[in-house]
Amino acid sequence: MKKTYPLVLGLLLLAGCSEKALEVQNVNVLTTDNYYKTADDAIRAVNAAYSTLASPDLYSRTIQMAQELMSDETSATGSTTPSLLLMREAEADASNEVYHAIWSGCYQGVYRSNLAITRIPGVMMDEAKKSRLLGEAFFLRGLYYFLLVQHFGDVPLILKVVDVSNPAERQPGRAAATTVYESILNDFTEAEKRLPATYDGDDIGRATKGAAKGFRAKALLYRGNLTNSQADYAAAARLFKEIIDSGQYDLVANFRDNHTNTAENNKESLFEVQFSSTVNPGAFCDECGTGGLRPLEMGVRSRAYNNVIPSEWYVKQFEPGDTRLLASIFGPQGSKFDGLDYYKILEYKAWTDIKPADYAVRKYQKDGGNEFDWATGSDVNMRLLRYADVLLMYAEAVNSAQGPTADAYAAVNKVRKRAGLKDLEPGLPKTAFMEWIMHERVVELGMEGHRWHDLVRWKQAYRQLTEKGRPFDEKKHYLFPIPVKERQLNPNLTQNPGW
Amino acid sequence: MINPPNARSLPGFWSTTHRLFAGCWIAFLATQVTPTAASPPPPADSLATREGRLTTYRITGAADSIPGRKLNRILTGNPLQALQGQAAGVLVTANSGDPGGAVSVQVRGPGRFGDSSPLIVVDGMVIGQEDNLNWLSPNDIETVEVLKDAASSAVYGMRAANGVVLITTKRGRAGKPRVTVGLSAGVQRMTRRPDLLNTQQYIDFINESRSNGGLISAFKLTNQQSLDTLRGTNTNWVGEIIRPAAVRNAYVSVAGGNETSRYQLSVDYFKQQGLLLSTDFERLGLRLNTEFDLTDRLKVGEHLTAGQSVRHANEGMGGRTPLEQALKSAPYLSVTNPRLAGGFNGPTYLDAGNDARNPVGQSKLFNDRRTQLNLIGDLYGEWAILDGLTYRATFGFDLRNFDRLFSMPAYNMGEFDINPSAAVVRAKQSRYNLLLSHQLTYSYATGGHSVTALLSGSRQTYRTDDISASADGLPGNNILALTAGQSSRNRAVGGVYGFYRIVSLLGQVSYDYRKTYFLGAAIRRDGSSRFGPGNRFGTFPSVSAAWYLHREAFLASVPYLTTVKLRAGWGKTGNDNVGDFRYASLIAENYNYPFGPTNSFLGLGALPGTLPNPGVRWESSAMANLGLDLGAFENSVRVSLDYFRKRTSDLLVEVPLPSSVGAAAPLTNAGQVETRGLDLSLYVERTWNWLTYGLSGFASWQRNEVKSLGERPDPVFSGTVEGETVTATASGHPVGSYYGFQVAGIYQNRDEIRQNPGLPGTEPGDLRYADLNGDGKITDDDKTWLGSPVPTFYYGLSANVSGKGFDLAALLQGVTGNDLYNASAYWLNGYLGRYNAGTQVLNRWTRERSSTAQPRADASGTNNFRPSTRFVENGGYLRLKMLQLGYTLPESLTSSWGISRLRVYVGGQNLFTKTRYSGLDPEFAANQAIAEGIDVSVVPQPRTFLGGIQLSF
Repeated sequence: MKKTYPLVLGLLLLAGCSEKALEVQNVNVLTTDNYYKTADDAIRAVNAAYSTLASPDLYSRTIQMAQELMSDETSATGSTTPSLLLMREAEADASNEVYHAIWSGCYQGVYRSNLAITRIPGVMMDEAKKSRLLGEAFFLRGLYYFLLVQHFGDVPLILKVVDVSNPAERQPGRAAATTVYESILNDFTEAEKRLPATYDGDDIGRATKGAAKGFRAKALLYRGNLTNSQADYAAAARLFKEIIDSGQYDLVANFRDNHTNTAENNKESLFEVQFSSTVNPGAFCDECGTGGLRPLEMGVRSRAYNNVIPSEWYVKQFEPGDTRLLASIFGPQGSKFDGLDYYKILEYKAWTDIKPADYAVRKYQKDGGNEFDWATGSDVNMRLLRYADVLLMYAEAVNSAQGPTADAYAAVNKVRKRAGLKDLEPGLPKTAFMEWIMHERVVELGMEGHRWHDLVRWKQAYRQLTEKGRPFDEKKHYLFPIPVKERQLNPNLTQNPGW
Repeated sequence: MINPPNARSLPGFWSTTHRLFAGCWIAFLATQVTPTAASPPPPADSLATREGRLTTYRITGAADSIPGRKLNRILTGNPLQALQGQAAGVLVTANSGDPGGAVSVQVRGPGRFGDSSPLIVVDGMVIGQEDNLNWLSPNDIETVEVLKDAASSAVYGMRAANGVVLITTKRGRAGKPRVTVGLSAGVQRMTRRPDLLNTQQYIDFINESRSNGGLISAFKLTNQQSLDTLRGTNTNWVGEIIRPAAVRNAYVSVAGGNETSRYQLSVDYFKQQGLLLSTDFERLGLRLNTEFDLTDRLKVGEHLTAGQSVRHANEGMGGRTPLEQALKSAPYLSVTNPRLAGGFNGPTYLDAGNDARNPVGQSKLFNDRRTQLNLIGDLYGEWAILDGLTYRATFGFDLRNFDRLFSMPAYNMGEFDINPSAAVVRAKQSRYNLLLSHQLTYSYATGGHSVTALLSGSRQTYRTDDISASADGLPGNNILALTAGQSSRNRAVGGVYGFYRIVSLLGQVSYDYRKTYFLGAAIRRDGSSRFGPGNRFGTFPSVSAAWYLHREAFLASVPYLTTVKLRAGWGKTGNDNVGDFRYASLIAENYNYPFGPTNSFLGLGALPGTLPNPGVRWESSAMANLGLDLGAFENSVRVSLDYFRKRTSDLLVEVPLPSSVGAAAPLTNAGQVETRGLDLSLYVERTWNWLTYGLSGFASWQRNEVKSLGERPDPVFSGTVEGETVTATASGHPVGSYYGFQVAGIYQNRDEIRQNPGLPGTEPGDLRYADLNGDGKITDDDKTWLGSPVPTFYYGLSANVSGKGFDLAALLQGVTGNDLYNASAYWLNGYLGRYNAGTQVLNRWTRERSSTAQPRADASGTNNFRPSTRFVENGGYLRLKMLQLGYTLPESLTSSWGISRLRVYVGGQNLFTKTRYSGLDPEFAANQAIAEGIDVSVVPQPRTFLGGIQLSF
């Protein structure tokens, strides 16, 4: 009997005290402890950094809508989302959700790129492929910061995965825009060194050397605008020239091929945000790598949300005979939708019944009747950088650095030629030539997300918008505000002037 | 089970009845009543163990004991529902009227932001939290004890923060076999029906909504020829899906034993149809409890439930209940349409935007069967090693198999609801919950001192294994096999494993001196596998004391007073039911991106999308309780009063990080909630002449308040209605309070709108919201606190009278001080202006009818349907939960048939409800404190009429 007491007591203690019994292996989900080991893990890390591009905060919806509505190329409608409308009417304050969405979307991309840049070097894999993946991550980080600096000016520059237990890391201050540009140029340079010129098969759509070079040139041009630096214009021009001279890119014959789902990643394209509505898992979800919402938001009345439409001013910019008009909008005589004359879609009797408010954006829309798959979103890619843009930016950089040279003329005329237009009158002075570039950018690149940023960097937004009756405070609205919520959580953030 | 009539006389009873009503309750009892010896048992006043537990809580703690005979007066599939209105501090609310559905139990307020369900223990087995107890028959229950204060519940450590429900099932006693048979059956009906528009009113309403909303008129609703056809149909959609429903129960038990063994064997069959088409719950259960004395010092025994239940659910599609679809469906549509696949009708694009799904079609075509097989119980052995020293080992088990089959045939119910091919979904879960515990109990008494000590160690392991699969494109509507045919496609599989273990050590001591001074102390140490290294173990102490003042000389001479007791206790408890692996940095998948020439290649992406919180811990609760028990007339009249203060800290809250971090913030232990309150219980059970009468009731007052959300600056917004959040949780307010605008009237004209601008798009006839911050605009900053779903007061009162073979019992139950968010009223008030609505919209604002509180019809704006006082309603109610009249035939008569007792009864449930709530039923719950009380058109509690027979021999 006496021997049993220790035994019983032993049993009691054994049952209660072993921490080992509480160690659980997670068999459902991977943890960071057993991840970032294989080439597959590295690819997934980079793919996740891409997926933010297609998220609703960025190119699936919000950033697009914000850019379009801030520009003078579009008009709002009765169904435009209130937060976007307030932003456009200059009535929004820093608590507006649009600003927060763009801010957090971009930083989500930065986090994911940083994660890839931090973790991939430790993965055992083919070194060439590892270098390429790192190149993609650098490219993406550069791109996200480029968006941040365009919208917000000075922003926190975070180049590693944040340790949230460290307040200094968790609540960083803002870095000067020029410092951010320095980092952006470094990232694009790093990417350009590592990326291949082209991809095959299932890798098509990844960032290329050309994309990195193109964005580096674009960033130089933008920084040139910001600091009025001739050296930056010259450097940008040099890089654009390298792209042109490489012969790798050219304009596609059919302008419309830039905006459909049938000719994506073509020879005119340097970088696109990829959307799909067919790949497994198929169903639309935020970041499953599926469809975009922009074409639904900016669609034809009664066939999609009709939240953003082309402005009357924009429609009037097209010279007679410009073949880009009907490829850009639905409405003018001759436009077809779902195989029908457009006026019939709106249940009108004749073309003359159509009013400017009936016009709709055709870019990125499919022309079929039931193309809008509400469940999956649209599979049309967003062309972020295409050759026509390169040509026009080249002309602009050259003109800014040295005036309208023959090369600059050739670049602009090449774009005009495809649209069925005459060459520009030779011998224009520098400013007049610039006016033509500005015009050409509207009709060539309209509603592709460029106009608002062009107006900002040219410091033209005040004049152009107020001329069109839009309220605009020159001391305030060139930059978006730092979102209120972000400043509450990070007291080290200052606010942009006027906000 | 009814006390035998007592023959003592009570002269003058009737003449003094009026004094009851004059409020001279105590005086009446004191002067007129002679106590009886046959009164119910007095509170236990000896320290004892039961099922291996020290029952100190019965003396020093705040614990209520409800006898099974009170529970099985309610005919329900879920014993938890029968607890409603039975115990102070225990708020029971059925989630809906669906048979076999979940029941929400809150012990002393919502102490969490999520599910606040108590820990359930059945005999020797710890079942767990959040268990739908519908596998256990109320007929098998001997008692239910609810441990409310921490001094009682702290012995359950890291799982006890929401209270503990201890269920003891019936056992046999030595004697010849006693057979009990119970049969009952009833019919259930819906008590309230919504008053909806008829076809003509509907057409007028939709046309006006469209015209007000600037939409073109709908051809189908304006063309004369078409209108003539529509007017021929007037479907009562609610009537089509709601039916009178049957409920029945049959129960047989045999109990008995001899000097060395005891047994109780029972079989229970329960079947309840739901009010809603295609819903029912059916359970067949076997219960076997046995105990054997192997020697004088060694006994072994077991408790076992083996059973199966089958439940048919009808939850609609896309989060929209069938009842909601019925409210919305156009009355001019017929239910059936033989020309469509499946045979049911449905709306098309011509129906002016009304895309409500046909609820009858969905109910009849979908089959959602949920089967549960279970084997639950425990084996134990008890060895009296020495006098006073006992060792007990328990092996508990809870083994279950869940199986869900959901199928739908190919059908076409209009243009919005088409299923091109037959589809089936299967889901199976196996659950293994095993408990092993060892206990040593030691009792010692000398010279008026008595001590009992318990030392226990246990380990409990839960394993779950889920697997699910689905496919559509099945070759035929009756084919349910996932592999059927070549055409089966979109096959999908899923599966996940769960593992949870808790290891515990418990030391507990009870001491008393002369049965007058009682002290209890316990300390439990729990380790939970849910947390990371260094955070797994928690220690939960408790102390309590009781003082029987009536045993002191100074109270000995007070007449009539039997018991005076003061109690005090304090303890700490925890809750580890906060999710698994929150401490780890999990790689989340689905951050995908398409590549390839036609974007047809899905580049899989993965990353830790949420940052980990390696330091995540259990939620911890501290509670103090002060109690006073009074008993008079041999304890046939008892009153208890308890004051408690419970503060739960370390509640998991998302403390947001700057977005520049780039990843979602983890949940951190930052929140704090406090509930304070007063529980009053009253118990009277007396006999006068041949009449026995009893009254028991309780009243609970409580104040619930969030004390902190840590560093989180904004409230936690949660419950959503049509995409907008309506509840907010923040410091200074009860958990899950309603938050929105204050309605300040209706705009009569544009001048008013100019003077006091409303939301963008406001027109005359729209609601005017109060501009609380006075900035001349209506924005989210004008939202304010509108009420709370947490009752401030709730009560229950049961009464019974019996004599001459007759017995009458009633249970009244109610809550007050709570609000409900009537989301169902969105539809009844014409939300979106394209669905059917309630007749209140007939009084809608028009230029001619401007003195009304009902805003205009509008098919394009939602300004009148923002979270506001318009939808927050008083949720209080008083309900006659149960009324039963029985007659027990004289034994002299029945014994000649060999029957010792034969009782027949008739009764009802939910016979009468008094409420100001305008919805179908003020009683419903979601078991989610942070988003509670949002009425999304669930099935209401039925009114039941029933009858039954009980006999034993």
